[in-house]
Amino acid sequence: MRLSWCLRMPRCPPPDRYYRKQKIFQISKHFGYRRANCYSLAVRSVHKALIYSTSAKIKKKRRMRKLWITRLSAATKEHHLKYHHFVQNLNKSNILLNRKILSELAIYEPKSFTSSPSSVPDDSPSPFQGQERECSKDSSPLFDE
Amino acid sequence: MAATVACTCAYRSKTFNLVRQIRSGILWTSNPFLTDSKVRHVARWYRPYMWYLEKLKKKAERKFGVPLPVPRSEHTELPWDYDSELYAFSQRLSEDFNVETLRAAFNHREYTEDEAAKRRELRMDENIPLLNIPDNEELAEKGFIFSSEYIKSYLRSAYPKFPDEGVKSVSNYLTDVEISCHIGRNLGVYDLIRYPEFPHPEEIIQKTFFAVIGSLLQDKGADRTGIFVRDFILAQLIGKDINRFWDILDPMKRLSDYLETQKQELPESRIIRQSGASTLVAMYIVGVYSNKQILGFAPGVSLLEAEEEAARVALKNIYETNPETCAPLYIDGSRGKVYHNVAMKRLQDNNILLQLKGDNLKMEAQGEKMSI
Amino acid sequence: MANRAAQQWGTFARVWYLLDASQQPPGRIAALVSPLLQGKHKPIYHPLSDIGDHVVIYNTREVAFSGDKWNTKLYHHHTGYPKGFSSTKAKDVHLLDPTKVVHKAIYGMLPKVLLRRTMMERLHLYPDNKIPEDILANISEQITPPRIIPRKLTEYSQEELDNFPKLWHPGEDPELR
Repeated sequence: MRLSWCLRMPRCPPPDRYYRKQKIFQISKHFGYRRANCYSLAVRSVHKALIYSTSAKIKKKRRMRKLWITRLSAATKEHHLKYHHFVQNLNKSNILLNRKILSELAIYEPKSFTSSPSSVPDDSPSPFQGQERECSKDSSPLFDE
Repeated sequence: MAATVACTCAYRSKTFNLVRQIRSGILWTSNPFLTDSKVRHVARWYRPYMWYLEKLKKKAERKFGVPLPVPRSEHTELPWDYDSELYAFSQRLSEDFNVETLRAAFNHREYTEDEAAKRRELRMDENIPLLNIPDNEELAEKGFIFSSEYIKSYLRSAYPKFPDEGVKSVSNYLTDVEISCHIGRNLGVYDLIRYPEFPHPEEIIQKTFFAVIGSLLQDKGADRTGIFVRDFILAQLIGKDINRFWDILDPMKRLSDYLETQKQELPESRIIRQSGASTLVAMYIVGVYSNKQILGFAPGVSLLEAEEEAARVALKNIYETNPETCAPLYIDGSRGKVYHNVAMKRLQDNNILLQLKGDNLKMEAQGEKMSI
Repeated sequence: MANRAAQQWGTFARVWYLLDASQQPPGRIAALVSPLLQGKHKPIYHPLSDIGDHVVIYNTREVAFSGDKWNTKLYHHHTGYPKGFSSTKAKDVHLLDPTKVVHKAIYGMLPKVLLRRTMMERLHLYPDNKIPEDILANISEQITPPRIIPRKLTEYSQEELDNFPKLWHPGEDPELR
């Protein structure tokens, strides 16, 4: 009995090749030019795109923090206060709200944002106190009456 | 149970059967994950096979349509035990219901009639005990009246200056189809409803929900039911502005009428700020004053709109319902307890509890009728 | 609290600011104005949303550079062709267009994004104090200029000059007087 008949069988493609490629094409569908439909180009650009998206996730966190700080400095300036003084006072009065929540408070709950010092003990400095000299009328020309 | 089979046969389709077969694993040939061998990959035939099945499913859906929703009782592999489901329902709510009352609360008149007609068709004996369950008409009406009355008296104790019109509109909002249906669905009322039509209409869910409240009232008394209504229905007001349910027409007139009764000076509106007056997107902030004291201010596109809105804000301040300046609605804690006790006392004083205890409801005199 | 629509109208309303540029350095004007044009002074700021305010600047003809910048500061330009480079002194640019210096200073201080042109649309520059009526009707706030203008010697009254404390008095000597 000859058992080597299987070696002489024509090579057939793996049964799931088409479906494996579809997995890549689903991601590269919206790419430009041949990168959308040619597998060898698509797979390279998909891998690159996934790397970019991973690094973007890290950068997004940095960018969002920057945005919250911009918003907070705008919100504190409405109360004649500089951002770094505000943060200093928050630390002193042991308010543990993060920048995201504080900026959301400044947008949606402006009154709660203003009254946040009322929740701290009396002897500790409040975030909206004692900074008049720093931001006098001359140095903050925007908000004079 | 003969009844459930009879009412759901029509909703079965070929698509549904196919999907069911795929789900239950009848169509599997072998294990694709090769857990026994040391190979750490999914078998190569697995993905094409899944695509094929998905294709079959889509084809069947195209041909026979998307399968209609089926009652929960049809989903389970184990036989559906209605009694234990009823028991589980009462345990989930931590309320000690009488099972027979609860069964009546879910039983609609249409269901009994439908069943009777089917049995007549099959020439079955009509005196089988299933048909002797009372329907939920009376329970639903009782539950509805109690809930709306309780909500009103609770709101009156929480917002003593808020006019009756406003209280009524808030109560209408809370007992309306949208909210009560939402609560009912999330409490798991839907799967227990006995009604011939499936999917059940929203009005039926609402009616069943109030029937459950009615059965609680019958079993456990008014105090317990009041707490239930407070915890489940009034809690829907959390985070919402109660002024938004009451649309005040001509707020300026209402405001001047109010000031006249209080013997104060008539309202006077003044521009506080404005920007971009000659542009298309002008903004005006108008304040309403009386006796040189500001009552309220609001922005608007034009002076007229801003003035009207400012009058609305002034009314909110007078009624003490302005969410910016007033405390939110308390439904728990010590203040919630106080409001509840006041509300219960008010219900007792108005003889509403007595009327609800009687078999015949005579609430038409108060103009309260369930809107189902 | 007004209803949601009115509240939103108030939140997103554009404010019109007025600024007098006489005797002010263009750079300091730009530093003051560019956050306003971007909307960075609002807690709802986002770099992609167009929420900047309007700024009206008048008397731009009278802006004051410090030092010798009128002669030394150069504005460069290149046409893109060979030998297309040219540079102009600030004083020459100012003579050609009295709003150009302020315009360029603010344009340079805005972020280099597609929204920059839109922000510049909200900047209204006037060389003197003649502002059109419809623009003037919009204004709701005035900005204090960034620099406190020193008074000229001629603007002091004789009484103030006499009362000014002196370290040394020339005395009666006619030559020194």
